[in-house]
Amino acid sequence: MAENEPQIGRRALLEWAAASAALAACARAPVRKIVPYVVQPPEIVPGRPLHYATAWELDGYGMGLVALSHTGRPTKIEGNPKHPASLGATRAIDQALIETLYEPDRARGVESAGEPVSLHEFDERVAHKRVAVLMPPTSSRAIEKLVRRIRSELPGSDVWFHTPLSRANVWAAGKSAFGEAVEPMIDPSKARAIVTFSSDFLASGPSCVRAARKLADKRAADGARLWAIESRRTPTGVFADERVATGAHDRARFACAIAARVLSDSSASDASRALATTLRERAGDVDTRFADRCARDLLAARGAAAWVVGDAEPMELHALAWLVNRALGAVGGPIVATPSPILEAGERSHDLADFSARAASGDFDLVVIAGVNPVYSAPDFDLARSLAGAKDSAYVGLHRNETAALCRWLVPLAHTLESWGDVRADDGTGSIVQPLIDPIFGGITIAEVLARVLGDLAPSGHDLTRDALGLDDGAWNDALQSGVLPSTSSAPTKAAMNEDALVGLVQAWVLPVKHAIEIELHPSHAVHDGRFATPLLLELPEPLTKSTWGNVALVSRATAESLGVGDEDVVKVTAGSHSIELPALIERGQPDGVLSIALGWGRRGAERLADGVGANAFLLREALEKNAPTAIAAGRSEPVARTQINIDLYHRAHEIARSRLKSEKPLAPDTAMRLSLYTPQLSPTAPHAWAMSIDMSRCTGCQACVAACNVENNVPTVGKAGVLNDRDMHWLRIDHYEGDRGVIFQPMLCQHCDDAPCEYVCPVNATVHSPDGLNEMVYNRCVGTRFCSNNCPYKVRRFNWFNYHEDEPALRQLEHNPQVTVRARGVMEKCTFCVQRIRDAEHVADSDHRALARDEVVTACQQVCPTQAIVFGDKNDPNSAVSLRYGLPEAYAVLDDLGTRPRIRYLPKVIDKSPERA
Amino acid sequence: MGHQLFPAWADTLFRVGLGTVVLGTGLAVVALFGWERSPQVRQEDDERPQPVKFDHRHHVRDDGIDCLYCHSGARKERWAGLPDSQTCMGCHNQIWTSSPELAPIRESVAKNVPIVWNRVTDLPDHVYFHHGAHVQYGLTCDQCHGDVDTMPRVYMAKPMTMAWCLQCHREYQARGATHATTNCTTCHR
Repeated sequence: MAENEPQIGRRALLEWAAASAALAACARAPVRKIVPYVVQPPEIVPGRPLHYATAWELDGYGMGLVALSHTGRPTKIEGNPKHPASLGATRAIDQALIETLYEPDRARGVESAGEPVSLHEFDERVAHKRVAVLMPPTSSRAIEKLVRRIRSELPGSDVWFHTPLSRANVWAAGKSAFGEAVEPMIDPSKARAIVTFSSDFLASGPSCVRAARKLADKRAADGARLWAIESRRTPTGVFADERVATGAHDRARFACAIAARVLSDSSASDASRALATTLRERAGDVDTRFADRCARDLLAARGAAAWVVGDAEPMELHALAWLVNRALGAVGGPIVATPSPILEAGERSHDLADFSARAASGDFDLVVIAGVNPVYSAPDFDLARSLAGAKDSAYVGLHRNETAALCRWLVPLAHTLESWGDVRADDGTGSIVQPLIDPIFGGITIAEVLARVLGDLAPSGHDLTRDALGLDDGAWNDALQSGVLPSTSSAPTKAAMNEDALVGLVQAWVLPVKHAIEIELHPSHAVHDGRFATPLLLELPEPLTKSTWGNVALVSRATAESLGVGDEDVVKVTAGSHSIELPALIERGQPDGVLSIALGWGRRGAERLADGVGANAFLLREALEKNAPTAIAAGRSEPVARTQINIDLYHRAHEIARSRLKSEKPLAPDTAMRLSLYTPQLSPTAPHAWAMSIDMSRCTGCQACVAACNVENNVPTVGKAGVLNDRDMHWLRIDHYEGDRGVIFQPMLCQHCDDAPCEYVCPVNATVHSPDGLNEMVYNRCVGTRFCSNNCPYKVRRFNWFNYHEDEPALRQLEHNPQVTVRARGVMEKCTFCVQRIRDAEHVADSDHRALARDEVVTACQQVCPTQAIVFGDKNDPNSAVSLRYGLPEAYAVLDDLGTRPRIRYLPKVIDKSPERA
Repeated sequence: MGHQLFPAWADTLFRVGLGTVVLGTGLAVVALFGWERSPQVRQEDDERPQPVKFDHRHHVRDDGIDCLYCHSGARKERWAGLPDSQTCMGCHNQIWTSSPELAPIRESVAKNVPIVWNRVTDLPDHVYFHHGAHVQYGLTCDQCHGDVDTMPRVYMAKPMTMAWCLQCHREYQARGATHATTNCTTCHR
């Protein structure tokens, strides 16, 4: 991971060589051990992994998972097909749960003032005392019950909730509209036109997996035009058919312009029509043609048109969205007003300032901060002072992070894969969180902390959960098995929309001020709010810039010129008394004057890998509300580790990344005759012909497949220096091209060419072809000449320059998939089409004396893809999912003119521009 | 002509010496490769010491216990598996209950500490052998493991090398068994 440069001198090398030669001469193979169980649990068969349905919550919203366990060791996360937020797929962040479980820097025991103590001492410290608890927002019924008990039984104690990425604005607008904190749930399958305002709803947030899947399906079925009005390009923005880049001020004016057009339409109410006049004035001279086309598209799709507003947008814009959505007839259709599953959403207990003031007041014997890191993510709240004012303080968390450093007690938190609990999805559907492993470091859950406050000194997360859910044995076991509590989704709110309140809010709206320089802060696609400091996510390429290991300031070319900076030149961004320095990247589609910076970097906690990587943009966040920011060139540069530097197609779009407008006729099939001197290697008797189809129209570039591939195939991470040296190891990458009509994402992996150029050049036959069409890579034969990589036109082969895995901490090695070889230094590797899954499925079918079922084999990237852009299967079967797509006339193979005859065919990206521009 | 420093036979000596060095080096390399693969180094016929004096002759030949009774994974699973201590006690809490040979088993169950056996057959980590795939197609245990029922202490009766695996796969292929594949990902992934 870190620097892997050899540290050995010439003389030492010779000494070691002589010593090892001597040893080799007298070595005998070491005798290894077999350790069977004393009593083998009936469900465990060594060598056969088990699947457990579970769930976890991120910022309070549940995501249903199916976790894979190899003899008690969780190694892979999949989505739960029965869970409404997952539908069988996951986000990249969910994939990293395995890595956060085996994180070597986790807190390893209870400490008080740096001294190891027993958990019992902590128990005595909290029980029946006046305790203030700060924890993440939650939807757990068990925690809800405990919080209510604390409020009623212990008047001196209280509980607050905090997340740096709050949905407070969504809830506040919902409260004005319906009198309760409702969330606008988008169902793209009912939409024909969607406008988003700085909302990356397809690639981040609690419902992105479902939204992406439904929108992709809807588009493929009968079309749904997506309009994006946003600052930096997000995966949602480039997935959109129409996009306009704006700062916050212009975005508000666009919203006013479009809303004015929609609301002045006759079907809206009188109050709304009156509001339209005000909005039209506020919109001013914003691009009226865009607003016209957008409003016309929305009105034409009335009843199936929707506004989606980003979490960080002003509360008034959320209020306006409710009015517009109602005028469009969207509420109850594509937009459903659902009561928030989050406990006390939008109430005072979610206010960090309130907690900070109370904690500092000295009213409490003990302040407990559990699972949140406000010292890092809310630096302006000066929690140091609050904690100093408190009589005693404890941090319950996975790591000794910035907040833990200021607290006297440190108590390890149980990881979600070590916990009992319950969560609710964004739509209210409940799930049980079940543990796959005992807490590795003896951690406890937040529910168990709250129970201790109530005086229960040996709480069991299992019992707390069962009590709260009140299920009988049968229902409990069914819910554990399926991963969802049946019919628990929330009904839409019954309250009528309070139009007057919303109109009043919007009337009083002071649009965001336009500054010469504007800073757009957004959650990181990888480390989220900074809590996921694992190698996989630190090295997960940002969807568009492909930057890893740190954040950058995205600027437009014009702004970069006016600042006097170029790519990788450091800019100093200042707001109020805070400033941060980070490298700039010139990004297409970036609005002028707007610098976009990801949150979640610049950590200073115990997670060594993330320490000091990137800059902490949270420092600016509070100051930005009151101060106009400035940006100047710092006069130095800093390399940005990017996995793809060139995004130009050099007029080779036709060969590499095809796209067309929906109104154009389908692209002509490739009928050129390919001559080859080589006889086809395919065995006509092979029962299967494995193949893949990738639909670029469906790809949002979310990187979930990259993360899933890494976890499934033990792909190492190489560190920032490694990425800068082009030594990144991702078997699957998502190439980003600037096509003629916008961004095209192209997942690129080994193409398993029938006439593979890599195979001809290997001097040791380490890469060969199997009869069923796999390009096999045999690690134990490979001597590392790298000829194959040089001869691969797709550049998908990866070389192990170092012993990345052997040098890992022992705990980290537990995460490896035992079905896949862990590669050593000097070996080439690449995508295998998840051959371990193919062979496993074949063995299982053999054991059952049956043939492989249709589409039984699923690759890791296919399984995790939220939009089902990737389909894998047997192309010998004319009705398999892959055959149906593979045979489409538009399906093409990348660089097919080289005669490689790839086994992967791509479908072009189809863009649905609105008529005026097409 | 001055005096020759070396006599004429010195040339011959030099040539013979050179040849010896070249041939010898080559032979040494070949010998090392050969020796590395020899049954001695591979410990093919070595009887492994085990923590319990388990005698297959007695259990298999005398008592007629099927292999799958203890190695139950062999039929369908990847690993044949070793019986848990409880399986031993299934019989031995009825018979030979006080035998000193069985003390480690009784202790294992009483203290809930597993027995650590020494591996006899150990394939490299990059080989993904599947017992079930072989047993399902009718291979018998002794084809690879030898006559375990005659072994007082078990040893690796066959070479368990890749050449040996392939030899069998090729023979089956020649007889028309399509499942006995010889492509690399059958075993390596």
